[in-house]
Amino acid sequence: MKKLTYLLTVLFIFGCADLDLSPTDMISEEAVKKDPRLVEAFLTKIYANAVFEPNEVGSMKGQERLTDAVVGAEYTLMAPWQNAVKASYNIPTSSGAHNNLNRWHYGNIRSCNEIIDILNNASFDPQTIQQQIAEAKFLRAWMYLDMTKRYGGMPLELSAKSVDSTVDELMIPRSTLQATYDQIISDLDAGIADLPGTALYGKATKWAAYALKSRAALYAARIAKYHPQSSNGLTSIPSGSSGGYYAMALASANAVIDGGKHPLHTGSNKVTTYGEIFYKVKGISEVIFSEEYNTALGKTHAWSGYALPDGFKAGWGSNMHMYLASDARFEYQDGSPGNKHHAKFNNKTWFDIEEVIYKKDPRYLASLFTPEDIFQGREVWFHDKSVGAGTKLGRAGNVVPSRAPGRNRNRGGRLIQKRVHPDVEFPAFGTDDVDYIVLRTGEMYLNASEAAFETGKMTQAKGRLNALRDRVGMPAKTDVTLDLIKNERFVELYAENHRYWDLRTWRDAQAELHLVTKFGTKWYRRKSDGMYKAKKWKWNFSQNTPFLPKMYWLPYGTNKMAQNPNLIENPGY
Amino acid sequence: MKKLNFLTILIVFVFGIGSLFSQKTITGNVTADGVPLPGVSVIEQGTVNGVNSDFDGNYTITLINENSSLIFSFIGFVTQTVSTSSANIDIAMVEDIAKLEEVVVTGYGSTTKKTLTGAIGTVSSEALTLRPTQNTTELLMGQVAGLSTRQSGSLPGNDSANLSIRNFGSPMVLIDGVESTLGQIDPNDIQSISVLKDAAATIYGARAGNGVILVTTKRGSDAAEGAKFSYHGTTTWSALVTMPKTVNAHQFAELMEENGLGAENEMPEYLDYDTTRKRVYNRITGEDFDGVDWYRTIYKDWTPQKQHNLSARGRSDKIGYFISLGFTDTQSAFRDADYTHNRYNIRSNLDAEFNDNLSARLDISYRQTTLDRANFGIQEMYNRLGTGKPTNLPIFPNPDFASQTGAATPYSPVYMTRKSHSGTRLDRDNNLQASISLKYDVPFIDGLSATASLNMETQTEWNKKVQKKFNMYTYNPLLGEGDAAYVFFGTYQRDMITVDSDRDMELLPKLTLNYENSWDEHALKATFVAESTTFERDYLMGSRTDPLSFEAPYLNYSSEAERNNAEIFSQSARSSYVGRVNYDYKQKYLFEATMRADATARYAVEGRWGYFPSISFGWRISQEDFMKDSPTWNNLKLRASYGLMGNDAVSNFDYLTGYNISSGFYMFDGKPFPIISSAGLANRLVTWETMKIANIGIEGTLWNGGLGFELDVFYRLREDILALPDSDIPFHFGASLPKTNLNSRDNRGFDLMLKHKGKIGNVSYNINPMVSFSRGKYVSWEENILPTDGADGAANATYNNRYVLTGNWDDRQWGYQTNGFFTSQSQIDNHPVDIDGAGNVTLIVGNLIKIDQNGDNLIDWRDQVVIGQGGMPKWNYSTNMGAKYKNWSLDMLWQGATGYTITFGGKASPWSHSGHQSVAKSFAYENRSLRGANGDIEILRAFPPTFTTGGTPQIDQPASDFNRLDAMYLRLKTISLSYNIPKNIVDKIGLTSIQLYLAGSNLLTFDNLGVYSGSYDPEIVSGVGGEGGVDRAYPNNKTLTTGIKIGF
Repeated sequence: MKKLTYLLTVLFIFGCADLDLSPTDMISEEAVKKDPRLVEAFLTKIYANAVFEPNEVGSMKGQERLTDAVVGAEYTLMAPWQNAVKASYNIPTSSGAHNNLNRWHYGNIRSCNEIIDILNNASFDPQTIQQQIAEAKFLRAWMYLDMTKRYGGMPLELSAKSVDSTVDELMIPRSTLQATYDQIISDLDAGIADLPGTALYGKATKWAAYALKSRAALYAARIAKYHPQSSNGLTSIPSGSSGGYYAMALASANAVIDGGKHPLHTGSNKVTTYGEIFYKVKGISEVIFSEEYNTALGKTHAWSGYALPDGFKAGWGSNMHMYLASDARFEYQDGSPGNKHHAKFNNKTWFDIEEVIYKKDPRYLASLFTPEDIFQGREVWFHDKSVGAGTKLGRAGNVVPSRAPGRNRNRGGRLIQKRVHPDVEFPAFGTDDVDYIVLRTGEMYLNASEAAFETGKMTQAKGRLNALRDRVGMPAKTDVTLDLIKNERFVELYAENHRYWDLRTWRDAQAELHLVTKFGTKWYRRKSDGMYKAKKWKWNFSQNTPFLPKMYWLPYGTNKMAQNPNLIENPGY
Repeated sequence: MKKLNFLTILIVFVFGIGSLFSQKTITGNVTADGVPLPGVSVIEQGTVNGVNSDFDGNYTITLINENSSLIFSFIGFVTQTVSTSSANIDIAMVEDIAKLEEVVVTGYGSTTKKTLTGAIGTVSSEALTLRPTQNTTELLMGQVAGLSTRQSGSLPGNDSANLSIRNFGSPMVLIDGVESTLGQIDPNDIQSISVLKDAAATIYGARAGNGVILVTTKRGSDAAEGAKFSYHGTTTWSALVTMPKTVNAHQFAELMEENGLGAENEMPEYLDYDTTRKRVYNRITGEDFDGVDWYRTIYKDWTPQKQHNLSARGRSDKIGYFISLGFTDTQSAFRDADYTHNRYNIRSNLDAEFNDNLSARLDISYRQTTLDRANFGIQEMYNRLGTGKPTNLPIFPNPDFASQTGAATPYSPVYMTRKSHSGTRLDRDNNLQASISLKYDVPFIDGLSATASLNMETQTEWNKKVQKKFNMYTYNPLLGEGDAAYVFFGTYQRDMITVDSDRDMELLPKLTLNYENSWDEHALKATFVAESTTFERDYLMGSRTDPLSFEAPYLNYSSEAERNNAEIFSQSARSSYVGRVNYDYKQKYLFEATMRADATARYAVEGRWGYFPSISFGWRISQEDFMKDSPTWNNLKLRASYGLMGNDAVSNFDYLTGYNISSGFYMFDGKPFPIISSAGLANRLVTWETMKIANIGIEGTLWNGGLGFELDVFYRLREDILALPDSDIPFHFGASLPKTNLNSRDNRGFDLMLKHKGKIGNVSYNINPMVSFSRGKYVSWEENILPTDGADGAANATYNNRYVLTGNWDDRQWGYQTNGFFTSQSQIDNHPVDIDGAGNVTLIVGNLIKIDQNGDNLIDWRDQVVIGQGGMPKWNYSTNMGAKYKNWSLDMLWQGATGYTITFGGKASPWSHSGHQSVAKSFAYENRSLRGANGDIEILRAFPPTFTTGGTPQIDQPASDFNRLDAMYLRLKTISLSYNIPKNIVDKIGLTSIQLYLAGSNLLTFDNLGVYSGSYDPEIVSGVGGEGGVDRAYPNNKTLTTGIKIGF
């Protein structure tokens, strides 16, 4: 029996392994509470997930990032299977909106709330605490604005709730749209009060808070003024409050403009001055807030990979094509209408592209690749065919191919150039590291002009508008109208993902988007003298893009509704 | 009782002579069918005293106890027990028709088929060497009822056969008692495989929930049989089972014209399209250009594969040995052959007897696999290959200039598969496993033995990628002769070197106590095991860009600017205690109970230990008096089992709270800033899933093997599945509640196997069909179930019906039922149902007509119905057939499945005509409808007309029944014809045996895929997300093999 006991003892020794292992990548909660560097690392996570560049969710390199511009009809893409194009055709149902348009930031918002809790109980340097709280609030405001512009009034979560909360505490209803905007504005006021005027490049500053507040207040004002009233206030703001929000938008925009920290970027060559804002970014005075990229560190995107025309690309390319209707919005340098030559696009009339294209607004020339545009010392070709005989060289003096490479010629006839760095030749796809501008002073001039106009301050409205035109050498407008301001906003902020949200807040989306037939341009070049003729051609990918009234507010979706019985779905779903 | 048998003999051989206490000697003769039977084991019951019958069947044994009985046993014959009443006992051995004496390996031991109480299927070594495969998993196909394998591609080196017992999911695989994988073991080394389908697996506790597969390797043979050497060599030629056929250049251009993209936009400049003749022609020569099929460019027709195995097996004095060396070399079907896989297997299994009570085993196995290939991503290559336009040449007249597909993006599937362009990649995997065990037969307790063993395993995966940048060109002879015709188009990847290694180390000490005894008509066996495992993994990688020269492709000589490295370390540990008791009365009433306690480091102390009991019974009805002498029944047994198992690979350290350090960063002012994120809420009680399985089986043999059957009916309840208990909290809470063991689902089904053996003249044959069925339900699921009383009751009920899983089958696919597609604009205009939610303004001719199920004239989620089943077949069936005539034998395995749905989406869809994605398949071209001048359909066929599909929500997003098919197939998996060279010829050349054979696999398939048949493989498709396997992955092979087995 003794021997058996001995055996059993041995048996149990064999069955023993050290089971108290732990993973190697964890830090305890206590450590985070004591160390501002760890709090900062937590804050950095919020920056990383805040989605500053619209639609970059999912894949950093995905076409998803092009969605806002495509659904806003600023441009369209080479192929209809790209998700951004699909999103533009999609009619949302009670199942929810197209994935590319959905944005739910509550996980990250909870992190903001957790940080604020940690900081309220933290023991380190009070100034750091105050500043980090303001940073968390700025980010929270950014994310609520990103949601409320889609879904209307939101359930407002302002503290990290405990799992043990009661059902009533958990199942909060949606706040009204006004309350949601007021919360955003209040967080931004905290940012204005406590954020520093100067911070590390890429971090939020007082000026970023002012700029975002100007944008939020402007959206709120437009909704109050132009959207019909809803009975529950979830998708409308009382019209009486529009004036207050316009005033707030104006004051905040002016605070940035007059603050002196972020003056408009100026220079003698109007085209390059405007263009370099978007590919230099860092060091450009008017950039208020941006997201930074770096190829060597592996933080990259694929903008130029999509944008570069055939003949200059090493990867994808020729993906973003401008519609003819967008071309019409860019005036000529003498102030004449942007569509004045469109009648010549009849497949018969020969014209000089120097007149038809190269006399346009410098912002047009900087934002687009156009026929025989000189890029990296060579022409970008767009022509579908060369006609006749002759050897007239291109604008940069090169021999002209009989037809342009396929990708350039069979779509819109003009490609987006904005943000493409001209010094990088044949970059591999997905290795672009041009920073993304989130907030810049150009928008502030437009916010100020519109808000001043809406509140009857015509002189200021005109002044802000003309200051922006003057920077690129465009003649001043003698009178301002709302349409003029809207058009200037289109031109100045083209391809910067503003248009779709402007159309929605102005309640212009139905008129501008619903079943509107879109056109592109086909170019033909005469060999003898380099003259062009053109035709416009219908280009809708077989289908029309709808914009129904219900789409001003995207649905929460059946599944989200099922989670909280106190939620009310937006009308029409 | 083979193992016990030879051990006994040995012990007797060594020590039996010394038994000087003998009092009585018995002699006799053993025969079978009247012919002397040598080698029959004769053992005195209850002792280790025994002898073998000699060449003439004679034996002599001296008894230790005067009144004991003798046990006569021999493989393949029924064991007989005879009392020693006379001094001369002649015995006639009877063939074991029902294979009752067959040894069945069970968890931590073995038993005979006779006394088995669990549902255990077995595969013999013969069945495994019938055909060569590069992946041993494939060999299990169709061998055991209820075990399904689906071969999803034959890419060399890819363990792509999907293995599942009763559709439970991936089973646990053990090789000689050590958890392992099946794919890369040499089938020639395998003695037997047991598939534990029910509570028999419980003895493996927390990892056994999906069933267990036990592989036993060969060991030293019986001393009497002498040393045996054998060589097994095969040469195999393989080809692809399916090959998609794409449209030719003319058809492609026609499609582009039809869908409005314009033919001339989709082809190189030197080609043009004649719209009247509908022909693509070369503008320089004027000749028609038929185009190129990219799939046929990249594949060659037949690819060789070689396998060799040399082994020695035997026993000399006190040492038993099995040593084996195997080599397999496989090439891919890629034409440039820059993709090969080879494998070396070395195994040495040694047994040693030290003395009366002490014996030892030393098993060492080593495996090295090498995948030597061009540097490209398989998935990416196939994505690009599908876009290779028939109007663009895959290989230019000057092949030094790499082509591209003709799509917008510069990709060259043809040159990606060439080392010369994309670079090289070498994946080397070394696995060394050594185990030593010492067995001690405790002298002071009769029947008790103790075995201590230690298993060590180390695996090193080492991969090196030398990635090269290469340029792609377009070809335009209009630009001039020679090099002038090639225009730079783009580059693929960048110059870079990456080396990574992954080192695993596992240590497994184990102590086993075995007790075995019998008295009167009772037999008792008991086993106790204590074991633990510790596992460590260390992953290390380094990479740099822009090597100075590919002459020196090493990290050291590459750019300093972009150095990158990483290390990941992880560890795990487990402790286990196992107990089992077997008891039988008169070998008629069988009983087994097991208990296992498992603990793992994955969980907090609170949820760490789990206890897994099982119980099973057997009743050998045929041993009862009323049946014992039945002329019909050779065997009839009823079995029942119930057990509790676990699945612990579901969570790792989820019980800890805190912050995780992310590998990502965010940039401020040019510098990367580190990121931490909250690990989320934690649950210290997180533990494994539990599986309760009940099984009732009945097996029998009738008419001397004329009919054998085995039927098992099972029910498995899988509980404590981890879920986020989010139905209590809304999405705006912002965090998920910690994972909790909440959900449950189940499986039910049956396995049936029939056997028939017979003889017609000189031909003996056997046929062995089997069928199995398994289907599952969500028993209770963490989800939102809305209240159906109150004002919203009806609406909520609709929601519940569509979305609630609880109580429903788990293989329902939801979507829209369709009634064809719109054939004219007026049909759209007059359609009463709003299909797009916008009054049909976005619809075009060719869009699907979705059926309005609820009659509200609006199509939304409320109109979705169940339109398909799951992707895994519910029914699996197969038949093994064999016939023998003299020295010839013919074997066949037919295998098939049904009860699953294939979705022909994505690149396999009927709408795949876009100029930008994959090139249309011939079946899509042939079956498309055609429009007339006004845009309405003029010629109506099965598929809609071509149009650019993007943004067409009706097609692209919600699932519909239009491109979904309930599939079934039957495939001739294996056929082999073998010939044994007659003994007299073999003897003359000094060998023992020579077998020659010719085998084929996947040679014939019947399926119901209709127009998709031949392009898509019914065995593969559903495994690849319904996207159409051949477009996405390397297809399955069909093979032809010549093989030789030599014994000497």
